[in-house]
Amino acid sequence: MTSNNRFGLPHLGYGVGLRSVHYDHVTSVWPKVDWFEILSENYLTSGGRPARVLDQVRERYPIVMHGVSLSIGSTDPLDFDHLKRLKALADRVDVAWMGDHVCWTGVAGRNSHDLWPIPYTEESLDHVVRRIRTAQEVLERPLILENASTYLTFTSSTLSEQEFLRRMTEESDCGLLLDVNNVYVSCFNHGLDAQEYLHGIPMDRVVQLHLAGHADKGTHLLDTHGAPVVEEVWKLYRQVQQLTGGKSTLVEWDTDIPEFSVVEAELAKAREASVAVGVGP
Amino acid sequence: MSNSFGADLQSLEHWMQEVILQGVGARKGLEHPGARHWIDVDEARLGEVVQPSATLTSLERLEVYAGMYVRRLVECLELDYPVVRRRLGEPRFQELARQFVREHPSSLLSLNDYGTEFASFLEQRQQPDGKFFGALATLERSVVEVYHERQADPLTPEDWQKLPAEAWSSIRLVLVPALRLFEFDFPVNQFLDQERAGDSPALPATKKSWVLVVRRGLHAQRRTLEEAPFRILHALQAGHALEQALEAGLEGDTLTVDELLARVPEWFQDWASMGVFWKTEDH
Repeated sequence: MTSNNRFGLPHLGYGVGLRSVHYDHVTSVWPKVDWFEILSENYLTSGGRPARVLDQVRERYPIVMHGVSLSIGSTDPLDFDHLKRLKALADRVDVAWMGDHVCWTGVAGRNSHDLWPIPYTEESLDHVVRRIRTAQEVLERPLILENASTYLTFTSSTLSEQEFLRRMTEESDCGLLLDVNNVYVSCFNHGLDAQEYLHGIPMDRVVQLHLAGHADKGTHLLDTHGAPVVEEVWKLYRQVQQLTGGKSTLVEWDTDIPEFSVVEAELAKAREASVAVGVGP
Repeated sequence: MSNSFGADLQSLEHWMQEVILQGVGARKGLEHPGARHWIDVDEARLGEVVQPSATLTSLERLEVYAGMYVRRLVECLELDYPVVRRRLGEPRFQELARQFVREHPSSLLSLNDYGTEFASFLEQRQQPDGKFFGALATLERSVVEVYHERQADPLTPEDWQKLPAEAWSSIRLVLVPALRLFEFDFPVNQFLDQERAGDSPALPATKKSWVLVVRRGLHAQRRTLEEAPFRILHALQAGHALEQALEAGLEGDTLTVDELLARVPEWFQDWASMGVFWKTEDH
């Protein structure tokens, strides 16, 4: 496996999110996907079937951990117990890398189980950078953080999202998981130009890409992970693959999850799109 | 401190959470004293905290998050309690689930455990069928719990053969962690079987029942028990030695000692085949 990011992390190819509805299929067919991504929290507290399936899958595929509860933007203290559990799982599974989202999920000990937006201010940037550095020290590996889909902008924001991400990754020395669908969704919701957004992204920090479908609510787009990737997102994806020289790509499908073959078909499109721009498979 | 309300990051986050976690929509959440404590902004001045977009007002943008918060947690309950949902009917289930979400903000890292208290929530409703639906929810939830419970390989036939006969009276049989035992006031396991078979039975009258739920390999099994074997397993689960557990089997039932002893081998054989026993320990 080659590497084309500043962290020396491998190019894993084309992967799929491991979901419980596909356990039987995956552990009987062992599909031809290059790697699997797991939702970290689902495997931290479960010792039953998910743990057993993960043990089986990790013997055959590289695994990436992707979390939803790190809450890196929260003003609550960092949850060191959670970080230690994440590290223990990452070590046990021998993950290729691990990450979460650029967001906050709650304060005062609460967890909304949603990815809430950060005001893009100097204050937030300092706060998030400090927390990423601390988390990376505990985890003993770089965090690969994803741009979340957002539906509101705080009036207090003084930085663009891409500027925030650029400075955050550089000042904390973390990596970026660029969710191409989220770029499209957020730009649509905020009336931004996706091209301009992409040109502000530090592509040398990008380790992984996400692709997913969204729902068009008329007034805004909602990141549902419950539909095929739309053509506009495929266009952005081809562009990103060209700009980055080709990155590990994952197709996410989390609501109304179809047969595994449908997700595989989306993955095949990602391979074809990468080949078409000369960076794949 | 760069918005007109002088709110720093901490105030902004607490404010947004207070608005959303009320579970009553952004407009009402905005009026809540908990939210006003952090940023005293009303709908008219909300644009000074949240920018409107070309298509949505500031309030509508906040409402996207308020709606998603409730929806996600309600979906979690829908997944854990499909039969409760079907039998309560969609409007009533949605109303109860939303009320539960309002009263039970999550502090958990994973959604796997979010619905744990839904059964007791249903039981506490002052409604005639509350106790039944509480019991049904307890049973549905137990299947989720044993699914996620840690793996412990049960005793094999070879393990059993190695146990010396003289050890039986004092031995302690430890049950696998992925096991739950219930004493219900309704025949809920039978009801759940009928529902899963596609029937739609009437809600049952009060009648004691005892149920074992245990994961064997990757799948949860449910078994309705008689009272005596339930009491034996319950005593074993509580850490009693086999002899005391068998004595417990005589409590509250009509079996004589001879009748009970005659049936014990059959019960233990059944439980062993279900993967109930994890290991033995000296008492």
